[in-house]
Amino acid sequence: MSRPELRERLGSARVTVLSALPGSGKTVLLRSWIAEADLADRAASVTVSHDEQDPQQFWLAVLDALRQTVPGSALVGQLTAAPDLDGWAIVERLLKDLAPLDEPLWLVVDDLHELGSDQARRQLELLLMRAPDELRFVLASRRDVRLGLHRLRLEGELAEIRADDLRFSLTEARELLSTAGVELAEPTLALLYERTEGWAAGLRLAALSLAGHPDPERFAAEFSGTERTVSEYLLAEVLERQSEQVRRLLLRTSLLEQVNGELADLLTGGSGGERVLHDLEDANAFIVPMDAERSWFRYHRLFVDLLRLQLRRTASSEVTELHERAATWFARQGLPVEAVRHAQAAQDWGLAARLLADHWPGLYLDGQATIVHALLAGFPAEARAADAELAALTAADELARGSLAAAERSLGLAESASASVPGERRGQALVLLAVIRLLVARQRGNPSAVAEEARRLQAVAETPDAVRPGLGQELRALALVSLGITEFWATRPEGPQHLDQGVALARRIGRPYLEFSGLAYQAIGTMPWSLTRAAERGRLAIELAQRHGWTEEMPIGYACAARAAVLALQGCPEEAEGWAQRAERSIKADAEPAAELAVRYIRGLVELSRGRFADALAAFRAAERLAGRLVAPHLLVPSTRAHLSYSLVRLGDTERAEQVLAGLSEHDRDRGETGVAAAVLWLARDDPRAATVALTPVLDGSAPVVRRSWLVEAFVLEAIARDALSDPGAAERAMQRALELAEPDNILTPFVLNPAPGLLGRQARGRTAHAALIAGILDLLPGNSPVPPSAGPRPPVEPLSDSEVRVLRYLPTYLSAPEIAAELSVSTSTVKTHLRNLYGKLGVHSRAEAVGRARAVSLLAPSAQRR
Amino acid sequence: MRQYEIWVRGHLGEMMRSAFPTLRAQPRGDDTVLTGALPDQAALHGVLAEIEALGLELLELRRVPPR
Repeated sequence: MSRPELRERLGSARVTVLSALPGSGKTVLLRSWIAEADLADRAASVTVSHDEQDPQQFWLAVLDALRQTVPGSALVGQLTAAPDLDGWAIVERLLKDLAPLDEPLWLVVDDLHELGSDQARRQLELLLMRAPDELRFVLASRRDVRLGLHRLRLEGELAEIRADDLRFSLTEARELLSTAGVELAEPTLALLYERTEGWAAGLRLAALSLAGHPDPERFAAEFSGTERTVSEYLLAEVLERQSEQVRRLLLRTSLLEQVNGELADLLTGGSGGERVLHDLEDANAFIVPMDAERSWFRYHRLFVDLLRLQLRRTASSEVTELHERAATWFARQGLPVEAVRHAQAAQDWGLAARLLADHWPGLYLDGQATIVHALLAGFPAEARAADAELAALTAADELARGSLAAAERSLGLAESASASVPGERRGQALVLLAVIRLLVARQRGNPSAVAEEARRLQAVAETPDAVRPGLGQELRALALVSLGITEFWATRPEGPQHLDQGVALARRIGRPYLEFSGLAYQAIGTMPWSLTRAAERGRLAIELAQRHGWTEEMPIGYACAARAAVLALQGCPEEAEGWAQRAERSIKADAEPAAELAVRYIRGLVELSRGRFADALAAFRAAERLAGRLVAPHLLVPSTRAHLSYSLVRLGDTERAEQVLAGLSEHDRDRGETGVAAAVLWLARDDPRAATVALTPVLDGSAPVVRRSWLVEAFVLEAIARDALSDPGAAERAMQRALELAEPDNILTPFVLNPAPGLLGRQARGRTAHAALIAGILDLLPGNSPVPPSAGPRPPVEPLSDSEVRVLRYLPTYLSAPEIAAELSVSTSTVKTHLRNLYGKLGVHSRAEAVGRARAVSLLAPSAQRR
Repeated sequence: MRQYEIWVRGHLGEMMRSAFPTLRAQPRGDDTVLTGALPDQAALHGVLAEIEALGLELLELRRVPPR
């Protein structure tokens, strides 16, 4: 059915709005326009889900559709669902991704009136206002949606298609009927046209009734003689003319939002459902395929609403049982949202509650909190209070919505109902309850309560048969990671064990967001044991984040912070700088104080490692101030205070340094970090004897340190002190030990901050075991040419995006830009955009320079490939 | 409870009427008037949404004094 003037208007402005009641032919027009204008490769089609309240779900659907177009696939980054993705951030990112768009791309949004979220509508408005000119919009809706369109109208950028425009002309009506194989005499056609007033749904229903009708004249006469509404009269006619099998299928499957052959057979109790669905589609009978394989279909909205009314009127006693069957089927297929909805429609609250509880961890991790909220609201209040698992989920929902008091009340209900959970579900219900209790305790910010809840969770989660195989594993992984994150600020001799287990389980069951956040915390949590492993975990976390588009999510801050700290300790302050900046961006001031403290501390470490002691001092001071706001002992507090004193010494203010050390609590004074800071102070005052006294408990292990770099530094200081005390043998042994400890993680900074070139030179001559390490240190010491040569005044390298790294890898190959584009299956202009950004970030102007610079900062082989 | 009169175009058959169980539907000329008491604005908007969903043409809506 071609309607050239309408199609013309669809393409005429940057934004086109179709606004008309259901049945006006909006969706059909959009489909035929895309097909006939050959836009399938450049039109992203999104149908808004029924009563969509969640900006994240809407934008993920938009991104998905855009990525399926040719221009969109080259520009729009992947984004995987995750808890709490911010719609505004998604739109900002989309605008950035689409900025280089230089060919037409259409975003077609149907059923826009279903977008119930005010936030999402405002975000769409932002996209409309700021999108590049080549991005065109077509928005179809039953009613006018407030989108600030008047501005576009004034600027001549808006085209509107409304009910009167959509109405069929007599000629078009004739064409539509004739396409359906219905040829009418002119007076009959006129009668029919007058009665339907050119309304699309009316004409299409008439065509269905008239196909093969023995007496079209009589049909038209009767139709025009009745006062019944067009849709009701014609639907009855259409149903009348179907076989019993088809009628049964239409009525029964009208309960579903989407239908396939198997489900149709299940609801009709018959067979051949799939063929019937295909026949209906071929007959243009208000059914639309949802996939290319034509396996899933959905009905036209108006049609399905009428069918449901008819079903309730003619077979109301069967409705409950049909919902039961659908619920069971969807549950078996692993489609929990549909399953819960049907179980609720059947008023089978027990089944609905079990389904929701089983699938909650997965829904939560998929960022479906808004849907969970709606599903919870679908239970009667008594069911929510009496069912332990539902009450626990209600608490989690209330917590997410910021109502701590309500959450605690619901937890109380869950607690008292937990005794009545049947045996086979009890273990799992207890784990669920414990996870949510821990979340609530964390929100309340009471450290002793957090510790208590963590212990409880540990007790239930470690019971091997607590959760059932399968779905229970998601809950278990969530429990382990939550537990690990809670524990991570307290140093434990066994290391971040729960995180290790949680991350491994998350990977095994394919839950990348959980794996990502666990890895990010692990990156920092592993630093006390191994910088190499910490850096590796940070790298894995960042890779996962880039693959899934979570580069703005909070946990990535920890991964970046860990990478910055490791690089700073390895004597690469310029490379550390980029990661430190990213950590600072991701972990904002409104984060928990412990997180901000970590970021400030690492900033200090970076400044220290490049000898900017005043900047380091400022950062450690800021971290120290935050330490005062913490209620629980924190992994980094002794290090912060020791480094504060240490920076003061470097700035020549030994008085104040001494005051800092004197003001420490007894607990902090016994830490190894404090001993190191004291030794630095004594050496600065030319008292090597006092330095060795301060170091003794650090060296013999009686004063613990938070990570090995402190121990390395203690031995370096010991060597310097012994050397000053004219004990070359002891000095040499201490330096030897320092090098041994530094070797596995390539720790350079303690040697650079406490230069002892003479001692190191003797080591190099005496033994060869640490030759490379010593060479690296000597290169960094003043008076030697620095490595890499470009370090120093050069601006830091801003972290590269995934695509930029992919392009970068081809630079040493001497393939041309079009050839690289072909290798990567993207357009040449995309490759050029990446090159431009790459050169900007690397601060270079040619390809050869880019390769040199990238090698110097380890972005290119060999070190970039290290695994 | 407030009393309303809602006019829609055409005569509603049994199927359409079943969408408005709390209202009485009576033909008036070529149109139908739905009358009845609704508890609040939310209920009224619910009825309007139903009218929209079924593709009915809304002609007039007014509050009338209770009988």
